[in-house]
Amino acid sequence: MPDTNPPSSVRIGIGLTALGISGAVVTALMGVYYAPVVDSTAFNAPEAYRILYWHVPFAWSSFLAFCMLFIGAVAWYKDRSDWGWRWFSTGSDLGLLFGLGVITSGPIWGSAEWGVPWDWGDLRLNTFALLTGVALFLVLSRRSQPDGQETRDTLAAVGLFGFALVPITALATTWYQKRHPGIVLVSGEETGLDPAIRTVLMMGFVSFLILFVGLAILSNEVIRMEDRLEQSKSELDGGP
Amino acid sequence: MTGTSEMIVAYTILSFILAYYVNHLRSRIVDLSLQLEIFSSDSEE
Repeated sequence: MPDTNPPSSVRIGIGLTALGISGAVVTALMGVYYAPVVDSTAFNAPEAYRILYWHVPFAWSSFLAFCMLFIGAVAWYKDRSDWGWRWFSTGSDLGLLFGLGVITSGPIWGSAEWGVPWDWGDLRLNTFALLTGVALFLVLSRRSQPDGQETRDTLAAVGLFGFALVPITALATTWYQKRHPGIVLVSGEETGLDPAIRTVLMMGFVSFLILFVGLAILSNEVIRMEDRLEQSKSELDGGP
Repeated sequence: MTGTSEMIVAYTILSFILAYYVNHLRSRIVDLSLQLEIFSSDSEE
């Protein structure tokens, strides 16, 4: 008889997700009320910069998701392992979730700060949009195509090639900075941050890391339960 | 213009995206648990 009680991983996932969301809310409140306002002569919209306290952790989380997708795709090709496919699926879901957050909040900040929401000449903006497009393609394809080895092979190949955009996007502002700000947490004369701003950003990073792990556990468990249900259905139908 | 309204709009959208996905996972887990329970009781019979 299959065990139908929610596994302990679900309870751990719920706990981590709740903790991560709480931390994200505290980060937003600290970003609004604790972090200092930036120099109004250097910024066109000094209050809008506070969007970055969620925008940047969203971007970091999306890169974690794409790394998870990549590891899952490699594991799927290497051993045809179920955990590899679950990692791939979870990575594409979370890549889309956090990627959507980045490409909606970024243009809102851009329209306030730059006067335009998007710059078609900026490498990072466009490669990140492509990356989110790849995640959207993978999520929609998984939902619409019959699940089987051929489908998984094809989608894993798209994911592997799509992952090539991650290092390009990450290093885009170092190679070719046009409009998007550069790496913010690296110390230096040009990129040095106010300690309060850095503290809130790090708080956001830790909170979103916990949230990411919680969501990944829950998403992984949903896929595992879907597989068990499919297996139960085929057993009931007298299949293999 | 300081960008306060843009900040509020951005946080609202990001909160909605997170809430939507968390609720999606919650409803999937509840639904799948229920279905697995039905299959479990069917197989017992």
